[in-house]
Amino acid sequence: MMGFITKAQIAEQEVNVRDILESVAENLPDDYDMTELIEVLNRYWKHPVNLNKTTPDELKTFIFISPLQISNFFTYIKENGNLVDVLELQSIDGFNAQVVQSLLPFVTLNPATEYQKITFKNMRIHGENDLVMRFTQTLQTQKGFTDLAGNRYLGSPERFQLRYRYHYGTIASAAITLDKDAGEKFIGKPFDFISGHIALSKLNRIRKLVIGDYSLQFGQGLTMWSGFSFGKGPDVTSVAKKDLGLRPYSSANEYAFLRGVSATVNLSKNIDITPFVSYRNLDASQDRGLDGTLVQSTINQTGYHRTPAEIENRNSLSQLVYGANAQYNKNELVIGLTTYNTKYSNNFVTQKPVYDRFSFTGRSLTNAGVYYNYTYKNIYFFGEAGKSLNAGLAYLNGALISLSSMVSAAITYRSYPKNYHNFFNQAFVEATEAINEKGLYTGLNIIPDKHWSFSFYGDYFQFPWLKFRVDAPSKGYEVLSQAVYTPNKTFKVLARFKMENKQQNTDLELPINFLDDVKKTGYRLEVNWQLNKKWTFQNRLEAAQYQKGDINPELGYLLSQDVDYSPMFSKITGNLRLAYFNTSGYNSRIYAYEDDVLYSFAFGMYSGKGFRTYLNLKYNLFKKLNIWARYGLFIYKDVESIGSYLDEIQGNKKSEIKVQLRYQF
Amino acid sequence: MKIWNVLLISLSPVYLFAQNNLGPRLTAMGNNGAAVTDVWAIQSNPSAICDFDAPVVSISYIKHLFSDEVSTQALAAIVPFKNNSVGAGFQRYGLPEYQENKISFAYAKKFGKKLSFGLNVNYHQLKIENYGSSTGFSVDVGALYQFLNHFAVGAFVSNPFKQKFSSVEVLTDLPVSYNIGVSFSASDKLIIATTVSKFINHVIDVSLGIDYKIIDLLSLRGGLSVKPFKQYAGFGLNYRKFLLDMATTYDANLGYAPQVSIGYAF
Repeated sequence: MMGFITKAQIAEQEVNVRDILESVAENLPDDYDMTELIEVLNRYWKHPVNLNKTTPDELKTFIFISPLQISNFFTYIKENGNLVDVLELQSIDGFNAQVVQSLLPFVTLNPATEYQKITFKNMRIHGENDLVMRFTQTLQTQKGFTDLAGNRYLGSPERFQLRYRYHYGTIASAAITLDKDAGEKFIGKPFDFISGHIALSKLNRIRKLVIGDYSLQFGQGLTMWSGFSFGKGPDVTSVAKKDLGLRPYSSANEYAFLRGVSATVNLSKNIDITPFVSYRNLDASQDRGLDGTLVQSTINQTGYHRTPAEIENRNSLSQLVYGANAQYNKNELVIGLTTYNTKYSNNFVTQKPVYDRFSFTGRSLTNAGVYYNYTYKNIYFFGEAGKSLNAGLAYLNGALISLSSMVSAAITYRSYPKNYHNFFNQAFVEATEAINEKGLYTGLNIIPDKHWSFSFYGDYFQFPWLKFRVDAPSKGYEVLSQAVYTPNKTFKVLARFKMENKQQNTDLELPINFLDDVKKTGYRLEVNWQLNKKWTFQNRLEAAQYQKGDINPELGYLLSQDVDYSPMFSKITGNLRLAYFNTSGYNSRIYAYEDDVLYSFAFGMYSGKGFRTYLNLKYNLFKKLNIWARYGLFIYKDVESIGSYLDEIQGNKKSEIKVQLRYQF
Repeated sequence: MKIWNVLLISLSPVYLFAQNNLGPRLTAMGNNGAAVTDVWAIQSNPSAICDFDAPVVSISYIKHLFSDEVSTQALAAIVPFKNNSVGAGFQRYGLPEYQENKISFAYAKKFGKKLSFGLNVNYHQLKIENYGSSTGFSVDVGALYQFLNHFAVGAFVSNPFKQKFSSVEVLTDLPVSYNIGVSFSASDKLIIATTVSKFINHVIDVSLGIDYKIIDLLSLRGGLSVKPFKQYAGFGLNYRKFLLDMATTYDANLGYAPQVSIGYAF
């Protein structure tokens, strides 16, 4: 009986987690590793959060709760005492039926069994171990793997990842991650990338301690935020970031973390300080500078070490980061101060083009910043200001307002000067980096009842200085509107419209250069329907239009059909996609979320004309061992090769297989 | 300088659209005039002048975008009686050397509790120094329907008969537009409104705005329109029976256009 319930729970849990992930996946940058998020939600499924004993930091890890809701939650508990029933959540300001539904599987009111005694025996018996091994390979031969004279991939075409995680309640954790990308050689040690950590928490005054790889996220991301953060999306409350402070790092991204030691210590009732130190070796392409020493202009963040050039750049630049954050929390007010210094072994120089004129030069950079958030009745104010010493001052301020039980609004103004230098800057931005931008963003979420949901936002931005392919100060705007209709649990319709207008150097051959308007419009219509307890279907139609200046617009569209088979007590579950896409060029390409094996997710890029199909299967070997397999195929029409440079494949098919094994013990 | 202003105004048809002054409240909500009840709806959807218990009068002033001298002065007044409303409006746009004047008379009638129709007759005058003046007539018709307590849908057509100025030398047309909008009263403090407008010879524009009464005395408003992309903001003070509203439009190329109005509800 217990076995049946566990299986049912696992299936349901995966569906819940997957639904949440799909809705936030689009706002994430390309190389974001979703592992963290999936990890967190899966753990809360097994160890639900006790709402009567939780902290703001814990609630922030739920990606679908906004800072205003978190603040209202604690105000409610302070005024009304502990919750008597989980459904009492619905009576809290700002908690609509949808959020409560999404939260229910992960929360409880029962006090968790706290492991008080840490002994080796206890840690072995009560600890949870999770081992995942994943193998990926593109079946066709890419150009880089053939016998080429010059630049080529020196390694083998498989990608292999191994992750081991250990948890002891909520008190201790450790992990080790090994990764070898496709094309990388087994040089010396068998894996190109090794990452790991040991973390302890709730040790009296030491709230958290991490030795090894960790990430730091403070305030609104303007001063110190290692890793990635969400971009603009239909959930307008995501403009106010939820900083999680110090966290152990266990993703496979080879750039976005710090390596060393850090701890969050509770100094007095309302003040926490987090000192940190990190020493890393990074990849950079270096040249001989004017004085004969090695210099670089950018850091290589891909983590690829496949070609002779990439291998030469490996670990060529060392980076030392040290500093501290202090944060004051009292009731509805949070104020934080962060300051740190980054030192490199070699100098940075600017690149030749004029647009790079104001970027960082030298070896040493000191950053400091102040951030705050304050809840006043139904308004959540937030903001941050960051200064790079001897360079620019950037700031961001905004508010989330719960206008009524059905409507929330967000507004934020940002101003980042062209000379704001910071290597850990992930603030809210339209461009890829939070520098050289000013903008005003306003957004509205309307949820009149549990069947309908509307989102709108408008963002107006300016770039005061030049950018790549933009030889003058420029400006633009972006608008999005989305409506979702969910008449019952088995049916959902989504319609979305997005329009973006930016400026870029004209392509015309003229004696005087000017900026053309580049307009991108996107339409999406999606229908999800659940046939019965076993089968779910999703149909999607997406169209994109690209127009630069007065040239004829490029049009692209994607039509896809997804089928999902997840019966309750079955050992096998799977999903399948069949899609047809037709885009008249690379500019009208379409990105769409694709299902993948657990802990992985893909963002398919549909460019050109052709078909796409993939099949995911999961087989539950026995209770603790699961195996996944994925096969994906692109068939392009009327092409003789796919891709470019070393990734080029002869022919018109590109297929990939992926196999993953997970053992929990 | 004055000639430059005159030429700029008279040769740029786009400004003809911006000249219709909807008052700071509707402007701050994104120039949303189709489904929101307001004294200034006389300049947009004439049927939205119903639902007043007592007469209201309001005067407004806008300082326009590119010059200190170009401004709009306007006046609107509504007198309700039984199920009907009668309104009058006056609007002057330009500078002493170039003026577009408009006098309007509107009549709206409520049928039952939910439906109202309105009709607006406008007398336009275009006066350019040393060139003379020309006049024209136009008509606006509109309807407003309230349903489900919270919602109202409104539609109106401005100058459906494509009237022009009487003099053949005047090339600028009186604007023709088709508009439909919805307003949603999310609570007794919050109104969200959207309008879709199609002006002849112009693409379809969509606008969205909110009016949030944060306290009895003060309302905050904001809005967006898409083609062209503009952001709007404003606030209103309601003290005893006096109404003071301020708003501004922000256009990427043209800058700010602040406006203010003072009104009294009897």
